Amino acid sequence: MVELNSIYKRIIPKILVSTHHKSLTPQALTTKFYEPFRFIGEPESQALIFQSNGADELFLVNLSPKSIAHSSFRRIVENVNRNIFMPLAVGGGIFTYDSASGYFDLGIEKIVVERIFETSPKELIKVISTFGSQSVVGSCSFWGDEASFLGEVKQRSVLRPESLVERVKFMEDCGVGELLLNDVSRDGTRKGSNLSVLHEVLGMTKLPIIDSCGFGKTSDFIASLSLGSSAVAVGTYFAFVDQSFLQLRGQLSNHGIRVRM
Amino acid sequence: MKGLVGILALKSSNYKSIMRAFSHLGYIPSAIIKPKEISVFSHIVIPGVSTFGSVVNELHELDLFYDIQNLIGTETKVLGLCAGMQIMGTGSAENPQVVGLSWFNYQVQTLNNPEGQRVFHTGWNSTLNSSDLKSKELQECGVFYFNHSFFVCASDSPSKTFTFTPFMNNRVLSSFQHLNIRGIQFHPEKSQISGLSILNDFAQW
Repeated sequence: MVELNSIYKRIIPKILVSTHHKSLTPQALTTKFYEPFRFIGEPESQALIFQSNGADELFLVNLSPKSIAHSSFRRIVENVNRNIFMPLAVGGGIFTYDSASGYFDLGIEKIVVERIFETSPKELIKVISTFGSQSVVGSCSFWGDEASFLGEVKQRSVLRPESLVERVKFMEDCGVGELLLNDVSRDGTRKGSNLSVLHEVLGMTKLPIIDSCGFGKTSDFIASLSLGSSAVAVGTYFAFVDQSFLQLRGQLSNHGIRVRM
Repeated sequence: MKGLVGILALKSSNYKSIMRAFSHLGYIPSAIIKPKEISVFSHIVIPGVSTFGSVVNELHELDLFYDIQNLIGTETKVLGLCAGMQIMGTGSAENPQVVGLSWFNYQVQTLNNPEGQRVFHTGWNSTLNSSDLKSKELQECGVFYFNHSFFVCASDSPSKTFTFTPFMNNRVLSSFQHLNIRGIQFHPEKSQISGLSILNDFAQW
């Protein structure tokens, strides 16, 4: 019998793209504190693996928009989208209406934006009025470990947790359709996501929340999804854990989490 | 025989993903940008991924609106996806000043939770047969990818042949068929194998 009113929880692989120090060719990689940690292959082949595993959705993020030309990342997006038939969200370096519409023009259905809230929110509002709120994921990178706050990770600014509330409200006012929470202090550590921040944000908004950063064990997924996140986005997890989507879903289902089987 | 599939090339839509899906299935889809091209195709798709107003306004800009409007009741099969389905009604709370194709007498509503707050139906969800509407034993007939915050209520379905999806105490009209028209709220082009079979079925209709 079908459960009423309950949408399936999503597991979303994140393919982060950057340039290798030995090669200018953009590659997929895992990160630690949002810094390149290990290169794992071509984004296109990674996407095909996730497609064959039946991932619920895919994030493709240009981690180095200053060093990867817009045209070459756009080509990667085009190649990935050519071969997959699941939802694709693209992020990194989207600061204007034109850069956003350039990706929609390739046939993708969602963008992930972050710095545009600081640089040009009016451009984002224009995007939303054309493509709809459901097409925009508002990303929020913060440093959850207050004691070791860095202010920025190289050139990537991160918020303090106390600034997060204000940012979430602003993103909601701008009209985004989903929120992505990135606790950079947990990125790549595999010690679990920031549940206290997730709990706080869940109390502030009715937007679907995608929890990210720090997932290392099945119990981390169970904790986040049980608390109320709509989805979990993982970059490192599938690169280092000898576990398939099917196994993870089976374990989540056994714990009462509604996932596609 | 395989249908000759034409997809409206709306810039605010993801029509290129829909084209790729039909190509993957072995069809040779074409992008429609001019009114005179409409009569060439046996099957026409109105794509989504945008607002109600963007779809309607772009149809007017391309001078396609009235030619598309005249397709109801003809031999040409029409499929509207997401916002492409919503514009088959009279109007939408998303852009109240914009008038839709008005094929059907439904008004697109804001998706609210029981507390009256706007919510987003984003992710994979089940579709259920219309015969289940009053049944307590609901049986799933497919799982597809949804992404919207405006919806058509299942009770406003233009026909008795439809599926619906329960979400936050709303009954979302997830698909229907009436005359030569099919409307689908979810995204078959992004719903993996189950979605591709929906598109294939349309092209074979």
